[in-house]
Amino acid sequence: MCPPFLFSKFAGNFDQMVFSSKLIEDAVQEFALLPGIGKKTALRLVLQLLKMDEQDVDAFTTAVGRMRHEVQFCKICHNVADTEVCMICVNRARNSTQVCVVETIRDVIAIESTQQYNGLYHVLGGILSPLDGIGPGQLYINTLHDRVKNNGVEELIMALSPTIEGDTTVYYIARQLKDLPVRITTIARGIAFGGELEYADEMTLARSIAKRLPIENYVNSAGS
Amino acid sequence: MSRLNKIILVQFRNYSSASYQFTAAVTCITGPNGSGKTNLLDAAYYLCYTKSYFNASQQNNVQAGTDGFRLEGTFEKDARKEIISCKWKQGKKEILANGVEYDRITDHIGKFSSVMIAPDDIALINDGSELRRKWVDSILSQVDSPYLDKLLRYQRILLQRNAWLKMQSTVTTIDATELEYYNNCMAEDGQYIYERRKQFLQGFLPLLNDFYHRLSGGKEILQVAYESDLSQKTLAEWLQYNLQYDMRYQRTLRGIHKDDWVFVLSGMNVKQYASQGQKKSFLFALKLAQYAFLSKEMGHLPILLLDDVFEKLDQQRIEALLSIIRAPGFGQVLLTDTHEDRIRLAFGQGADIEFVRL
Ligand SMILES: [Zn+2]
Repeated sequence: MCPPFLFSKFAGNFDQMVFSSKLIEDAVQEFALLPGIGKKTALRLVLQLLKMDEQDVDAFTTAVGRMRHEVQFCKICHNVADTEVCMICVNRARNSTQVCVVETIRDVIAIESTQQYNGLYHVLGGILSPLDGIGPGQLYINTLHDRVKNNGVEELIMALSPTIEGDTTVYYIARQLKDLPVRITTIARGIAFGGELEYADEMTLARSIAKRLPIENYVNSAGS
Repeated sequence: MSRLNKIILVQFRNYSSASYQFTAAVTCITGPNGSGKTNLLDAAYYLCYTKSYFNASQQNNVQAGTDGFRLEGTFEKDARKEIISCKWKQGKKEILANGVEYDRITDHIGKFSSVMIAPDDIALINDGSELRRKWVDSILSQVDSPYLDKLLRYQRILLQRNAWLKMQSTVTTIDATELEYYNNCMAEDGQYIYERRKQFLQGFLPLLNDFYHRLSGGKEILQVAYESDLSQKTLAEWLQYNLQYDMRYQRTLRGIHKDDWVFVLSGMNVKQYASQGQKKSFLFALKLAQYAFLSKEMGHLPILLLDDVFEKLDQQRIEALLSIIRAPGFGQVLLTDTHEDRIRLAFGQGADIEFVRL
């Protein structure tokens, strides 16, 4: 029988990569700073860029540079935007009475990819977790309160992680908004999310948004 | 009855690749010290609970110089075969039953059970309350499926609540909304756990007395006193009432995470006053009562794992232990010993025993 893990013992050790060009070495080191990119992969990417036309590489670096310099965060929903207000918030065809509350901009991308949701978003920037030093002050909860109060929001759909921290955040928001006439629902639970919203496949996500539940089924004794 | 008929170990501690069959009622694993007897026993435990009896860290289970391990056990329960495999690689654990991965690893807990008795177990009597809570939790998690979920949730919220209490020392105005949520959840889960722990003793105590009497030959009365904050107030009341102290000490002072059990033998506190021999009998009685409790509640016999217990046991207790584990209706036994002769002699002629020599 062949032990299944043995092969990795023979994987090359690239920690000691030796370069004949400092320019290549610098580029490799920059790529290797990215998550999920080891030195080996970084080298492969750099060598690929070396093969490409100079204009194409310029287009690549310009896109990355502009993205970082020019990107803005929507002043309404805190999603990424090219202008003060994002393309979703300015779109009059979208249902502005429905707001889906998510943790990060990755969740917006995941839900938008389903093409099943026509409301607006609110990006909290995380969930309540004292263990990670995250309290209400670190999240965009105040701006959510203002939106609900002033912008005719009728339903908030909570699409947060199905964890204690996610539940705490739903409870917190429900308590903050308890005097406002807004219906709070959550995306259907019990569906395998693989931990994070961004990994849920599009069909599952679309189904769970369609089958959302009123908050009483989700947070125990929310109104106590 | 459930049995482990075959086990495969790959890169598990000192084993690079090995396979063993267990066919008799009693399997004795022999070999010199350091040959891996305890590791083989622990591998059987691991297949039942997806964790080591001895090591909290999964990395310690991996053979030096490798990055993962695999265990596979062929179990038999009610004449049905099931192959359980546990893989651990670079921090990721995967448990499969007949090739199908579980949705949640906790779904495996309670399917196959085993009870280990090992030399350091006397700590269950001598050491702090944490070991006793873990021991009771390990039993109740198997016989009551909501118990483990509620316990895990309680423990996570306890961490968040304590972190929240610490955070408040740095803020000017206190917003107690999160605390309200933590309190609600902890009160609900804590109350459930308290009731189950209390109920547990009713079924457990008669078994404990019975095994102690069989081991010691005496008629002493054994008691186990369950000490919990929740016997005075509900947890909801405690969390409310104690808040100013919790805030001052920046941690949750009252709750089921402080529970303890006091072992009492004929009115005497075992931890403080019992002799070494009495403690040993008490420990064996606790473990055998655990075995009997699990088999009664789960409807099948656990596997008894005895790690090096015969060497340090006197003749009278060896005979008493043997008469229990050789009685008809007792389940599979795996044991380790450095001396094959000692075990042959103890079990005598005609015993259904096989030897695995490492
Ligand atoms: Zn926006």
